[in-house]
Amino acid sequence: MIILRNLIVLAIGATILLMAVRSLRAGRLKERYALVFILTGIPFLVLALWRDGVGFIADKLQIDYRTLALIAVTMFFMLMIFKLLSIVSVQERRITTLAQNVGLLMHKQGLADTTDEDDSQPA
Amino acid sequence: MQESSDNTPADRCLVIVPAYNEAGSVAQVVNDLREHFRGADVLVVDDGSTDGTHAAVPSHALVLRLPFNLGIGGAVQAGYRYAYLHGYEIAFQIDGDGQHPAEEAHKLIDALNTSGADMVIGSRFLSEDPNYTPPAARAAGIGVVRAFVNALTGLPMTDCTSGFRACNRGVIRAFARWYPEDYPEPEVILLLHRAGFKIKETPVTMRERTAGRTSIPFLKGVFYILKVGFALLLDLSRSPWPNKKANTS
Repeated sequence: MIILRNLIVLAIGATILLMAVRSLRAGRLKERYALVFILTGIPFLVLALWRDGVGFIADKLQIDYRTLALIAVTMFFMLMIFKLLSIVSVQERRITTLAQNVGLLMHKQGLADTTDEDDSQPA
Repeated sequence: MQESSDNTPADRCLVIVPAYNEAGSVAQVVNDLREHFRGADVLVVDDGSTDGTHAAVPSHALVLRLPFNLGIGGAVQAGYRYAYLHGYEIAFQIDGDGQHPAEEAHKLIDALNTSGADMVIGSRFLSEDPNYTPPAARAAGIGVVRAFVNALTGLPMTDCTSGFRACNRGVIRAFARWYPEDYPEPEVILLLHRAGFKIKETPVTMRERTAGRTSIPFLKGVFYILKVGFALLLDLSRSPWPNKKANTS
């Protein structure tokens, strides 16, 4: 039963790391943002292989209940993911403004009627 | 660019027509506007269409092509930014799918000029003899959004999701500065109200879309309502525009 639990945790950690590496290789994720996923995936791997890891952290931080230590670590990563999503939202707003500026400039230059090579491709 | 005639109520009026893959209907919409709403410039905002929508726009209308699809909020704001940059006094928003009859446009302009409102919304539910009857599920969704908006603003709005709208220079300026991207129609009502702008409704008739697809697919309707409700609650803590007095000075 314990081995099964460890294998599940190991699989979750490996999946997160694999997703991060694949996104990095495909250029869909920048290194600075991939760090969040890597820092999230590694603890899963460590805790899968080191059963008393949470207890060790709790002892070092003088937390009486191990569950609280786990919640504290989880909250930290949630904050990091929240920060990541905030960055993405700001970038999306900037891209919208940029695209509008491109449209306005194309109109000003009389380029609205020109046909792009990508016209047949879905946006 | 088509010149506005000086003796029409629509002088210095820009009609913004957001269009995404509306090649089948946009020409009719633009031609109807030319026939029934003379004196206004028509700007079709092609929101990254892949069906050649821009090529279907008659030559007497302006076309602003976005490099890729931004969604309804981004497309409409591009139109308002154009209106602001080119000094239009009135901007008029009409969907590119043919749901909004051009012959109804003057009702909104009349209401804008006589009511003292900063924005007038065409309501399909105030009309005595509506030609447009939404499906039950869609009507229910509209009802829920209306309940949200009315509860949060205290306004007696009847058609918060209508994209048939006219606004004055003050609102154009505010929209050019910031505009909601995801659920603009209901959000704008709440945000404008909180900024001190006056919003009115006037009865109009609408019809079924003539081509293309709705921007809110039926199956996503429920999720849409939840997201709109959440966005409206968040809007209570937002102030994207200065208050009306500062905005229009």
